[in-house]
Amino acid sequence: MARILVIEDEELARWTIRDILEAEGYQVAEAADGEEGLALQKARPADLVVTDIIMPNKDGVATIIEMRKAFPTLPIIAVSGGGRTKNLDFLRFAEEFGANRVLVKPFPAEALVAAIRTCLAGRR
Amino acid sequence: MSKSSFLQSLLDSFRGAKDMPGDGRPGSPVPRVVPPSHDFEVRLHNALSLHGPAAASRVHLIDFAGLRTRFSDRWERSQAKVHAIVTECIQRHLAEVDVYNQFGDTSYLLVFARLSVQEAQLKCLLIVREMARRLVGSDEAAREIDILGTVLRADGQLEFRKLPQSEVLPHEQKHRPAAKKPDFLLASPVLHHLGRSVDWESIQFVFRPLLALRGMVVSTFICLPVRRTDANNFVSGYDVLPDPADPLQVGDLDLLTAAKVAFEAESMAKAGSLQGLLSLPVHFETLANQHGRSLYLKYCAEYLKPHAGRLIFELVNLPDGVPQSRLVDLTTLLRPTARAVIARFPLTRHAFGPCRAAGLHAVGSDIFRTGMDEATLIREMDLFVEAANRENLKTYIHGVRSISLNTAAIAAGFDYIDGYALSSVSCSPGQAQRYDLHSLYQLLLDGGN
Repeated sequence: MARILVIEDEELARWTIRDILEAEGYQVAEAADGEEGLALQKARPADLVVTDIIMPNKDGVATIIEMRKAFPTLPIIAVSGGGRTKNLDFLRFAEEFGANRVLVKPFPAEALVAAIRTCLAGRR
Repeated sequence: MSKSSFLQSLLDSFRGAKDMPGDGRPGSPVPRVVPPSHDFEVRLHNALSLHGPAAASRVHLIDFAGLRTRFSDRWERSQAKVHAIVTECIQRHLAEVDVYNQFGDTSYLLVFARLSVQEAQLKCLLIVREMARRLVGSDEAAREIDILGTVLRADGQLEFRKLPQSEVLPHEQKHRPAAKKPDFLLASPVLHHLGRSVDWESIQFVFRPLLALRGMVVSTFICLPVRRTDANNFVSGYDVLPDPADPLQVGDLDLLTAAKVAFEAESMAKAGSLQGLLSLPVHFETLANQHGRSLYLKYCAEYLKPHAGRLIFELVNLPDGVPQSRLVDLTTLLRPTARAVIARFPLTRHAFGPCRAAGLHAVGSDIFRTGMDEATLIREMDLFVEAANRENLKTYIHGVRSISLNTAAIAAGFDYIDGYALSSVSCSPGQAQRYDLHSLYQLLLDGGN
């Protein structure tokens, strides 16, 4: 079964996503920010990455730019609620710079699972 | 040498540019230099005409041949983009009367028409740092870019000589006439008010652009005193003082900053610039100290009040728990000379009850040296903005030092943001201009670190 890397600084959100994906049978790796996520992906590449946008040390857009350079065919899904201001500009950048799908928080579990299935199917 | 023959020597140098530094490869082809246009020659003549016989000292060359080696076999396909970035860096720091042109394969000639030699060399250093940051993602790489000054030889020929970056400032100090002062101080009445315990001539000013997020416009420029400590480092703000805790030194620095802002505001008014606001810090001690307050307010009333519509005063170093009555006093003192008064607080402050009633337009914080990790900063930013919004106060944040903090600050809802992640400083305030958030990621997209 595919291995998915979840990059999300909020622990509760990260654990929720992990639970959803493990229930679908995926293996899940976790990182708390973009720096950690990139290092993990380079050390042991996952089949797909789900990344938040607003994170310390390296935000999601910068992470996507660097992931895309190192792993040109890696499916990437960006998620964000836009912070206090619900600013979704950064999700737009995420798509522009290489995310295959974007999801606006809060999103239902089915939406995330469907997005992952589509991305993985496209890769095969 | 007459000015016309100096100009001719300079123009002749363009024709011999293939022999200049920057084309160090043996047998290298003639560089793809765009020959100077007639318009350039006219502008160069005009720029040099603003000075006397020392015109040569205003001409500088920036050569990034040392940096080009990093591109190795990617140079051919990258050079157009590299030159585009270099041109942008140069243009950001030039005034309208200044002139530049590509000189060699990896070099650019710059003429600063109105700056002192010291100011021109500082400006070259700022340009070089921005180039290094944008091209390879590191300030340290600035050492690989040469700054050259122009020297007239005894035989009347022009020669470019490398200025070792560590010597740029001491070189000028060695040859500076005893009475020389920065231009704005010469014209300013504050000169005789300043105490003698500080070397005021070693202090220069830069302007940091502040992004207003609502319109995505950079329209405010924050005046910041800086002092070089070595080749590639500065201290800024009140750290430029030998003793930042000395109220007299602090008051004098605030007075000097006000003089610089008055000078720039006057220049902007003369240039017919309707855009662009200027912000300057005012230390609590300056206004708390009776003598300092009196001098400062008198200067403001006489020289800053004509430009009040363009000015924003930022109250800094306010004591913890400063009561509302005190804030009202401070704001009232500055309001006649200001478009707005704002106040800086620690990021951990989450209660701004007295501020709105005191007449403050915005509250903000400087996060450059808090010592907090980014995760903590991001949490505190949210709480800070939430607290300010409860009191209908605008918010601003200084010192945003990374892309991730910039993203977080925007998402938190700050109304105004500045920091080197956003934009570099410059030697003078610019025009108001739109900002594209894509710029944040440009370095990563261009292949930097």
